[in-house]
Amino acid sequence: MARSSAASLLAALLTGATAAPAPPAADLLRDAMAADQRVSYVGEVQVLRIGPQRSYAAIYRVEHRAPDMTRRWYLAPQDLYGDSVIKRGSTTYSIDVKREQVVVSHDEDADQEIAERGNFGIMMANYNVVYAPDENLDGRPVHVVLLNNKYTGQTTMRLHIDSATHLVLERQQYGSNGSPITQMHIEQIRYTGSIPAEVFAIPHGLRQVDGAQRGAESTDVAHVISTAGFLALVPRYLPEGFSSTAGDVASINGVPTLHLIYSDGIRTVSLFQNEKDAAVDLSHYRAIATKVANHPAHYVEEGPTTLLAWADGNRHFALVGDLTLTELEKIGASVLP
Amino acid sequence: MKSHPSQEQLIDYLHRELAPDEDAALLLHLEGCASCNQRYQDEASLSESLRSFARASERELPAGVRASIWSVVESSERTPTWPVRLRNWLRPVVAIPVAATFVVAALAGYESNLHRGGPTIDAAYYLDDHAALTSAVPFNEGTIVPTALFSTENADGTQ
Repeated sequence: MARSSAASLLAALLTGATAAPAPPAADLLRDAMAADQRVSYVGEVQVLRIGPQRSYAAIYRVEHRAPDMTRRWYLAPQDLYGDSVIKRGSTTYSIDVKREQVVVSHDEDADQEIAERGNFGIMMANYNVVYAPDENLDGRPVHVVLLNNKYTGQTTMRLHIDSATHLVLERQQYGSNGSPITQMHIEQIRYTGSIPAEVFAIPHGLRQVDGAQRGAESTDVAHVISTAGFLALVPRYLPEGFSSTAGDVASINGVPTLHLIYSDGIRTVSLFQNEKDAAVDLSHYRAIATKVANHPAHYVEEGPTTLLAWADGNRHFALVGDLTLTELEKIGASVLP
Repeated sequence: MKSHPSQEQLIDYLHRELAPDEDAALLLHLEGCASCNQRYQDEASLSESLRSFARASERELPAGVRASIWSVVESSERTPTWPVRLRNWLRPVVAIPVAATFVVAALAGYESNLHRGGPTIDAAYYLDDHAALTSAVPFNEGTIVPTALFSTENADGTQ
């Protein structure tokens, strides 16, 4: 009997033919967050990030071996064809075949699990999780879950969750005006436990170079601020539901830079600051002039993400997030003394 | 200054009517160009000849006429009318340095707010760091393509 049940579960995983009954929406959501840690799969992912002026798209083959080995093999855009990103635990290898180099970066994510738990709590505090009618996605039954902002009532995220594995197969995120800003979709998914380790091996013969060094992220924000080495300024205004979730201090070009993250569980804003007169170099972007309070400022848009930079004496600030420019300017004005 | 100056530019240079940068460029050109230097000397001697001729042909006005002319001149100098003042401000010899001062001040203001010659931090770092450190947010994709792959530079800074 046990063998028969296991066989039917395996059959369901492989074919997706049977729809599992839906658990409470919040439980499903929590389970979906951790699905990558227990489900191995291969598939093709399409990601779209839509901005007010420009949008970005990428298509890649994905091989994921639970809990923490992933390879993305890029098919598009054309310039990236053949490049890949291999993530093994907290180390990421960006393999650039045209330049014959591997850029290695390490994420100090020791308290990643704590951060995820904290963010889930914030998300539950700010969003109502509700079911929409079940659907079929590429032949697989999926539960459709909406996350509606408690303050605005707007749907901020729509998830299509595989009813058998609880892996998110499609995700749409919406901006504050309701228009889609991000879409992710996995096609041709096949669940398998037999992805060989060689898939995640780093190719030989490529030059290895270090990527950007990042600070050790911590959810103990007060401690992070105390290690900045200067009197940090924090915003007096944040959009409803946002709170401080994490931070780090990194030395960038020898400049101690404090990075504070604010989130409402789905949307995030980063505030960077230094007091070494180190301005943000926007020369590689199309920067547009604006103001933060009465201070001259510039902003750039990368898809739906906006970076707003300004200075107050020797202190330089940058706000980064998927919020509107107006919201970022309001947050920025509240940072100033 | 790569091309030879026009006669008008030489005359303006002689009367110090050029903008400071043009003035400096023309001076450098004259120092290295014998033919233009000769034209300048010719123009300068012509001006001096005219000035000498004017001085030689000067006639004394009756004392009463001179006094009344100076009286008008002095009163107009004390309280110039606003069109006169505006015209004075718009004279190239005044307006160009003033405009240049404003441009320099504006640039200095911009520099003081965003670029004061100190170290800089590439905006790409902030965008990448934001994407990387928000990966703990549920269902956040992070960066869809690492900058290391999109950049036109190699990671060691070479092209």
